[in-house]
Amino acid sequence: MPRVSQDYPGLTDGVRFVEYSQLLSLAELPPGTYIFTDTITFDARRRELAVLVEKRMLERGNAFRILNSPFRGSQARARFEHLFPGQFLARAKFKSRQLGEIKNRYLVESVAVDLDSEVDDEAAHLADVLLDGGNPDHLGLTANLPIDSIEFIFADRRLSIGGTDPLPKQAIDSFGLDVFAVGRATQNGLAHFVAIGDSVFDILPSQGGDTSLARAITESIIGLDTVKSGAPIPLNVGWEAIAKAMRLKSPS
Amino acid sequence: MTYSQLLDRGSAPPGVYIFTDRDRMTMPQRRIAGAIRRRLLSAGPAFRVLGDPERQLGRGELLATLTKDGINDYRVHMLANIDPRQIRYPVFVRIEDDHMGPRSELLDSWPEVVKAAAGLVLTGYREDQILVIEYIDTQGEGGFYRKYGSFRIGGKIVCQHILHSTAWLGKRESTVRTPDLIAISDGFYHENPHQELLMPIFERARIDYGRMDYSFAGDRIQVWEINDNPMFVGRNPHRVSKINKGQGFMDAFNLLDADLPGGEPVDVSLDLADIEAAVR
Repeated sequence: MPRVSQDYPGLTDGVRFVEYSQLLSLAELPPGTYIFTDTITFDARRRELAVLVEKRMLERGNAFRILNSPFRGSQARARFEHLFPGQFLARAKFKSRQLGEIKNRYLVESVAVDLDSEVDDEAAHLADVLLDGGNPDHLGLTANLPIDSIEFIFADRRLSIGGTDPLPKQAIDSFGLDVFAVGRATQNGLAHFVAIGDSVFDILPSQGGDTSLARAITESIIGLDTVKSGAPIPLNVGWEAIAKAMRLKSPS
Repeated sequence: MTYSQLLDRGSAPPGVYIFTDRDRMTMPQRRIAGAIRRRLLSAGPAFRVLGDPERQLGRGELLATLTKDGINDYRVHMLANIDPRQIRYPVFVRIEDDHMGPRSELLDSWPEVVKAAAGLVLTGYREDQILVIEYIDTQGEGGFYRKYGSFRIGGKIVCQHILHSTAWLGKRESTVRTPDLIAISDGFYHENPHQELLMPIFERARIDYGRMDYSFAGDRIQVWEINDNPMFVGRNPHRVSKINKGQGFMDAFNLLDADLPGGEPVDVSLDLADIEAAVR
């Protein structure tokens, strides 16, 4: 990951990026702390496969520490959908005056739509977002709530940008995630959840170079590893268990 | 231009528009492109549109159709509803909507298929994107695998090349380019021997612009895919051809608007009803 190496130079010394596809093809994994990413957006099949891998890892005792359990990942999505103060694009009913800012569930720049603009402009903005590959299931429409704080959670450690009060522990725990980022917007003194993400790009946002935030994030992530290094551990994820997780028909 | 750039213009001048890259589009993108397409066509005979992202057959559906029609002699299985008892091995897996070629080596058993497909699902591909494709041997004279590439540009077939390879995957490192083989490929461009064979297949696919990649098993055509956003020429065209093929392509493109009447620009702005239809 070239950008990560550039923005987080200290991280790539101590952290290895493992492609999901390798988790099934590798017969063994080195013991350590594994942060699962993108669990919020897993579809059912992907989640079942990830849970299968997670189970095999947990069967190996203390050899693996799992953060962002795929098993609990669906909890984060449901919780966020419950809290989001708007409607997701895939289910939106369009009335021009209710369109405000479009927020991606991942912490990216929001697309601001002027509420006084003509109806056609709003359609044009939405078309642009969709033509850019935006997923309607992951895009939310709110009534003009710009993000004013972002909180990065690394298990017990937190970093934040912006002035909103820190999230209470109970609120963080309700998402069922360990390593993720949350964006909030304040309106009339109330803070609203408007973005959440556990992808690599949410946890390691682009910095444009080595910054104090990048160094703090690096330190936080490296601090998560509590597992002693050792010889690789066999995983033995058999094809029958995989076929069952994918609900594939049996050949017999 | 991109679809976004066309929308940003607000209005489109009369002429021919070629809509490409349906394979890589999400469903909302296809629907938005479809809405733009309808705007252009509703403006009258001064506008012609090639490419129909909403109606063109995707790779999986096209290959299954060609097998059913008795054109292809190999079968394609969609992972989402695959019956392992129906598979003839060896097979390989690939993604329906990209052009990165096979995503596995040849697989000889159901456990191998399961693991290969699961690796793709775990990476983030959906079940309905994954194809399990039966292998068919197209090795021919001289031990080469020959992959033919021919364009359809509206009413014309224009041949691009024959790629000779020593391996079935046709990877770059196994492609062979000797002066004799380049001459054969250049001859193919001039002779255009497969027009009558290819046009009905393009019609069946509902594709009026794109490059068909195909081979022969014996004397029977085997279609691999139709790429509707194909590359015309690489960085080193002189490495792969000794002739200028540009004129053949230009002649075909020029025919597209030769008979178009004049007209006025048309408004291509979308409205919220189009967006709502796109995201449902």
